[in-house]
Amino acid sequence: MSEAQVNIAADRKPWAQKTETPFIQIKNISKKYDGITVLDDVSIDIYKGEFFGLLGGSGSGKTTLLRVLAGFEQPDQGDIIINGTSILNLAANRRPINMMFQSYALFPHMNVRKNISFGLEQEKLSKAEIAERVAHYIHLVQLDDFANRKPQQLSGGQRQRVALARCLIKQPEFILLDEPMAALDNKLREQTQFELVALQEQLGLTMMVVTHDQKEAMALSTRIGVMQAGKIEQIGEPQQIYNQPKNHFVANFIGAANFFSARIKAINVESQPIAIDTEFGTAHAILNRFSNTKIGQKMEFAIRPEYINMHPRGTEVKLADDMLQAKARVEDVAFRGENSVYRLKLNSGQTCMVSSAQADISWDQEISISWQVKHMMFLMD
Amino acid sequence: MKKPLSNKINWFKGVLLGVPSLWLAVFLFLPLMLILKMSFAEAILAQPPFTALLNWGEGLLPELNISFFSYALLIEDNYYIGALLQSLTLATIATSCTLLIALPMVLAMIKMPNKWQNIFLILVILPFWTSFLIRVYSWKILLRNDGFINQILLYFGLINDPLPMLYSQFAVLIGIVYSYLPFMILPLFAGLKKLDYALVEAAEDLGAKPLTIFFRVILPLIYPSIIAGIILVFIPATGEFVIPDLLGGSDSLLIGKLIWIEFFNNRDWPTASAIALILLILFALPLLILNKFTRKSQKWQDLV
Amino acid sequence: MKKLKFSLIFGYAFLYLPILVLIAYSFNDSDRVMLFTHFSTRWYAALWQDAELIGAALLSFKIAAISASFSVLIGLCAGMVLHRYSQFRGRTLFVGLLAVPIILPEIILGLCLLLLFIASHDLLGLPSIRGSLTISIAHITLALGYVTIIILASLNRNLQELDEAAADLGASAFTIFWRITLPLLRPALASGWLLSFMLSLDDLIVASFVSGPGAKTLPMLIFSKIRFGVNPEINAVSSLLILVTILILSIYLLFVRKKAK
Repeated sequence: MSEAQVNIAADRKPWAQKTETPFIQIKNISKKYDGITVLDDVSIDIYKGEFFGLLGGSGSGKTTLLRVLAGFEQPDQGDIIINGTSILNLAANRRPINMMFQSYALFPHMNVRKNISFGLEQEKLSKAEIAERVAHYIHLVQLDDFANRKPQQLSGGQRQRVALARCLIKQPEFILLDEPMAALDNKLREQTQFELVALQEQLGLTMMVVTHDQKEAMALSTRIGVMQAGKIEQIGEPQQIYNQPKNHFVANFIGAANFFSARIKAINVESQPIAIDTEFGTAHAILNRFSNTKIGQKMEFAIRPEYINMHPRGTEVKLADDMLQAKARVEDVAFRGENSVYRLKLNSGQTCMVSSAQADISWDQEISISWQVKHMMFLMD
Repeated sequence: MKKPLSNKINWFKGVLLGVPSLWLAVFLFLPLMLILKMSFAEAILAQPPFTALLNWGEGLLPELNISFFSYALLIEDNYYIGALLQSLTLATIATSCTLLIALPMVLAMIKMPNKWQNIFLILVILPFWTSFLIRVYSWKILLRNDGFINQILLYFGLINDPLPMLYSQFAVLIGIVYSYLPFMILPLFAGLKKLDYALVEAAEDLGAKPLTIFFRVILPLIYPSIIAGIILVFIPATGEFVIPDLLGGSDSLLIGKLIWIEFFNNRDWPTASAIALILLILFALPLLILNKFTRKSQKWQDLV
Repeated sequence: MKKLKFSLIFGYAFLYLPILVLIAYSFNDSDRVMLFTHFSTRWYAALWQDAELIGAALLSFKIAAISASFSVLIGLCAGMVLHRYSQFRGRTLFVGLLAVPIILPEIILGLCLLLLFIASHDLLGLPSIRGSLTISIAHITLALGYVTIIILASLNRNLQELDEAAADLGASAFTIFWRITLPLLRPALASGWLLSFMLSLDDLIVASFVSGPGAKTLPMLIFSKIRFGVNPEINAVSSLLILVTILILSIYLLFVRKKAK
């Protein structure tokens, strides 16, 4: 554990560099159960030291992917390569991958120390070495005073740390976490998230966390993969996923968004911005991630509630070129503490959500709203 | 190179699968086939007391020697069909009685605090674990002409002459209900225990009366347990031998007793086998159908 | 509510009255069984003189212990196989055969097995004599289904994930079995053993079929004595057996069930 030398993937962003080779390659994994496709051609590259978040609703296939990686399920197609070697033919107990189960799956008949040492005992190390490493890891997860307790005698947070230590002590190449925070209460969850990231960076671990909680995924991950119906919809850094969602599903799944329809009005051939017609006016944007743009094509744009500004009538500022605006009426306000969420009825009839800390706006007020074109997320499905 | 793991797993699986399979094949499947074979033989006065199924005649192939004598006997002689009907009637009445006694008991138990529930449950399990033979025998002491019940009744002057209760169908019925009551209580209790009591409270909250709650909330949710209880009582009650033998009179000719008599007294092994086989089919068919129905919820497994 | 309470009182009176009366009469001094004269333990004393009875009891306990141990061993294999390998050829037949002794009236099972032992004696000369061996085999077969269900239920309840966790940590199939499955199954194994023991101790019919002239189990002996009347010595034996049952059940509840929780 040479902490000083560890490359923190979160800082280096190896996925953005063409020269880097991925440490773990999940290649075109497909799996069917009774004719139902659970995993559909899933490919993910994970780099050393990365904390990859796999995000999806229930039934999206994320847990199946985890089980395929751990070796509890065989995929119908595809391959898994770690450090250049396929591990698909290795049984679960031979893979350099360890998993932390959602229920933690602590052995109820063994105390904390025995639970943590179990994995090392399978490696036929000397007793002294096992004892030394176990003591080190028990200390690492701050369970020194609880080493002789049984899992039933521990709190939820302590159990989670036992499960984590049991994984870490094997010093696996790759660690899988299945909903690691699901059994913890809200306060503990936030604290644990920070500790987990600190530990991951300190030890230089490569991890994958499966979660349905987008906030958790954002807080933990270097990159996130969003899954739906067995497919990966988008892979990217948390900010990227949030600000540049690839499609309607991702925009809707991560955070809140208001959706409006739009149409391509004109395309400037010399890679100038495309003019897009919306009901709020024309926006100019560069859309080179779409290959099949053509004039008259229908599309959609989404805008996050926090990027919309509200102005009481009469206080509207003169709009800059890169802004659009609309007229609306406040229908409802929900106080959220650090901010408030406003439900607006646009004059054009749609409903729009805005989140803001502004105090000078309340129910039934007629207002104007405006937003910058750069915050408009154009989507084509 | 590491050794492939699959060989080791197969060795382990081989033992796990092989041992019970071999046992079941030799000591269940084979005997069932033997009983099938036996039922197509004919009883003779010899050792062994039946004809062989295969005769090595003069040709190269053995002659098959199938006799439907036993089955013909069972169909033609009203004696056997009568015994079967008597058994089924008695088992039906007995099963209804156990259900009628067990259901209110279990409903009363389920409302108690957990600690009391456990005590009452243990009190059900205790006779369940006590020797069956002894429990049946104890009724002999109660039901005799000079037995406990008659003595009490005579003592209080309720009757002048002892009531003849032992060696009757009534005694057999009591014996069956008594012996199999725990088999009804335990699955019912298990079923009710799993029922979320909040459902009953919700029904109460919505204004339902106790009977309505029972018929419209409790019953539809615990019917698999009821069916399990009925099966656990009805099947052994139909084939019962000990109870009619100890408590029944000479008129009670039940099918289980008949097998015993055919086998041991008449030494007619083929007929005993044929009765057993028919009984087996009679029980297996409804169970197979039921199993298809309840497989999805897998409730039957949880209950036993 | 009141009606329910009444049904409870009636139900338990029904369950316990016969047993209590039986125990009371076992302390009756009179030779004429039904007339209670004095309190006496003479029938218990008489038991110790009855070599046939003691022999039968010892035989029964021996057979019960043997068949319980083997049915747990075989049932453990069957439970593991059903739990671990959700699909194998003949699984339906396997499950069906396991269920047969549970749903089959004992009289049919007894008949089946007797035919088997006779046939194998004629063909192979084995078993040379029907007795404790054949009864044990029959009782193992009788109990196997029940034991498997108990073990399988315990396996299904919580072991799937723990098995996987152990495999994930590098344990081989055998290590998982030895260090995870077996310790966690201990309560189920104890329950299965005890149930199987009691089934064997209780069985009259199957034993009557498969036993030979040499071997008479306790239920067989009791049955032959009570068939045509009541017998004060049997009252005493019965009371003792009830006591043994209570003891075994208490031990089970205190040690096995408590620990399981």
